Amino acid sequence: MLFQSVQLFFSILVFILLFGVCRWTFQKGWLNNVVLLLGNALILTNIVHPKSVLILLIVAMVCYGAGLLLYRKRRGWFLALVLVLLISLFAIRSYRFGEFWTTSMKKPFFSVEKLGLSYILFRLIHWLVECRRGTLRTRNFLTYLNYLFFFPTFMAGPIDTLNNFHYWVQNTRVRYNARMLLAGVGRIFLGAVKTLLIVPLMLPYATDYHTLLPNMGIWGAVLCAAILYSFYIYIDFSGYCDLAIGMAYMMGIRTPENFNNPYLSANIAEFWKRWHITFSTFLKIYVFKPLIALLNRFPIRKCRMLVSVIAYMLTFFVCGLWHGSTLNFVLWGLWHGLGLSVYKVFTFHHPIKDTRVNRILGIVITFVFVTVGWIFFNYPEKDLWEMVNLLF
Amino acid sequence: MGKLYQTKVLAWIGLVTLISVFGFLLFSFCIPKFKVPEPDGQLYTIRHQDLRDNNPLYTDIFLKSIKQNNGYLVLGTSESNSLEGGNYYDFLNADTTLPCKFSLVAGAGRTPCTYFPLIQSNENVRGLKVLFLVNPRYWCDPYAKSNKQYFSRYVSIAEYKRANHPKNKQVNDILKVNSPYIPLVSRIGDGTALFLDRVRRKYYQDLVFDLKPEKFRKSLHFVYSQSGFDRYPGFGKLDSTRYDFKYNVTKGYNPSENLFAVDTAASYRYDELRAMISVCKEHGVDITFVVEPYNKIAFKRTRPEQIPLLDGVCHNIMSICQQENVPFIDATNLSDTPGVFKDIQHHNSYGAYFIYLKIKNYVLGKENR
Repeated sequence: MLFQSVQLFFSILVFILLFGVCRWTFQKGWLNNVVLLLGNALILTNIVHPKSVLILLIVAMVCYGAGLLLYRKRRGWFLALVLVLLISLFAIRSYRFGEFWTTSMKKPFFSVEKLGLSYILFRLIHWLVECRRGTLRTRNFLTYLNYLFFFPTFMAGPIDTLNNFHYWVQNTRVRYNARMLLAGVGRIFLGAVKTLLIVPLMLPYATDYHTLLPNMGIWGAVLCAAILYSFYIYIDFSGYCDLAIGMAYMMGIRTPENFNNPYLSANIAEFWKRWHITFSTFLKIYVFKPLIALLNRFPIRKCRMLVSVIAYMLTFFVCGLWHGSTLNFVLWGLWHGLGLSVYKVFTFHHPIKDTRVNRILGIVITFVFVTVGWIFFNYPEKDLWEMVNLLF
Repeated sequence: MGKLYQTKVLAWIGLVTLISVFGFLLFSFCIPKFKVPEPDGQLYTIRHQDLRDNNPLYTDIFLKSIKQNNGYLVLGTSESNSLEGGNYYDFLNADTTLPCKFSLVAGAGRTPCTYFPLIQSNENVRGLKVLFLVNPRYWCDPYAKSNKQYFSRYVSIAEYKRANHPKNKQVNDILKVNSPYIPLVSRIGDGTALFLDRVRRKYYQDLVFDLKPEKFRKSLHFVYSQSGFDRYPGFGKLDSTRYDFKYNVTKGYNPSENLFAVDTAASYRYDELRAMISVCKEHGVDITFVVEPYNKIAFKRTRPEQIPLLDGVCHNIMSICQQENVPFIDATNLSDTPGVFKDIQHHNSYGAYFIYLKIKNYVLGKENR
């Protein structure tokens, strides 16, 4: 959670007001960047240990240099090398291998708190790849640092693009107005209602079906807990995003939205366009599409459907691994990969007409599919087996 | 996205939120302060949070109730937590031959420094009778030096700041060593958070109790009025079937765990003890220390070289009390009594029985003087 204490929350508010005053009064892009960088540094050192911030800063600087090189030379092998090194570096820290590494060496090789690490990695990948593609409108070092360490979205997104971020920070025209400030307050209010009022009510029943067992049978308990979990995870995460987006609004920065009524999706493909939008877009651009391009280099390209299925399965395997290193997360990812593949094959052979009945049916089927997926997501493998044994 | 998330709608929600927050703040000034009634009995304990923040509504009545009933306040560390079969203060409160009751504040790491803010900022401590259990464990590693985690668990930053006046150097030095780490950014929001906490108390305490005064009484925890030892069937007895006499611990406890050594280089705990004596004298607190035993039988088998050092710690604690002319109860002769420990550092209910006897004798002697 970004607000570890009331003190920090009010400190952030004070900073936001200061930043607002600065934007109103001077309307200078470079000054916005300087003030924002100062605020990011102060607030982040409060959330994660200053040493971790320093290490991340060094990694960011190395990547900045690599990005500039890529912009000039645009060598594919160099990009691949940097990406492999970067992802390995983060994976070592984030997963069990890293723990084995650090404990076996007694003295940690390097030590960075896990908080927000994966999101930093996303932004770094975005920077490197887009540098090579030459699509970035800025390569300003301060903007780059602010983009990486922007405190409202530092820990759990939404994952912004550098171009969008640059547009809102650098913009000297008066985009920062009272309406945006108030909208930010409103958004924070909605986020607070979700995370502080609704989520605590649902939490004990949603995350563990055992709490429902005294009131109903095993089937009922698993079913209710699964449905509750579907809503719980949505409300909790979207509430957090409301807080992050609201804070960014208050500073005059529009970050992209992360959710768009995902449970009203009529099929699984639509679901992934409405759920964790920035992350699924990231996967689409940086995993799915390159995979398709890679597979199309092989003879397999003749069977386009097979190419799509392999790309879906691999992309969602990565998606599952990113969420956690245990088997249940991988199963969850593969479940969605399978769902998308089946949907793709089915609609290829039997296109679905867009009628009201089909849509309602689609919404129900998609919700059931996603809810079953959340069971894999919520329970570690041991609990999953226990549940299966109890059910059958 | 739904209509709710349109900027225009969000701006309206934001405006209403701001107006409501401002209205709540303004209205809080109109809420009259709740007048704390006179206590009609001795309070047993106080909520951890109220003591940490020094919530005057509860700290005042807690201390007053002990004084008015001529009771004792027992302060201690983890040895004074609740015990299966009863701890010494349970037995003291159950004993009908004693003319007074015993209130309790205890917890792991509640060493003297955690009470400095309370003593320094509350006039009701004057004349208060206090029993302080001193556990020699705190002179061993890793507790022999200050422990900021423990300190900030029991003392809020605001209370730390309030207590940190350069009036009493001894006290101030100890507080400085324990100064909690306050990140720079948090300091900016510190004042606002304190202000908001006051506003919160206005609503959750003053307004609620003004409207329903009986709720305040219900929120208090009085000393159990029924006396007698019927509630403690194992009173003064040891269940030897569940006991490992070889190491003088409860069966199942691994005596090689938590083995500790005296930190002979650190003088912090002695300084803290002296500062406690000094602040108690300054504020008229009638304090008596109880020097706790340690599991000498276990040490004989595991780390015999530590025995003279631990004996030295106990001796030094008592010497300081003698030098400062502060009364103390010596319970260290229980150190090699079989059956009195549940582990390497905590007495069990049987041990609590002997400590109860020692305190009882002391209290009766003091009251009859």
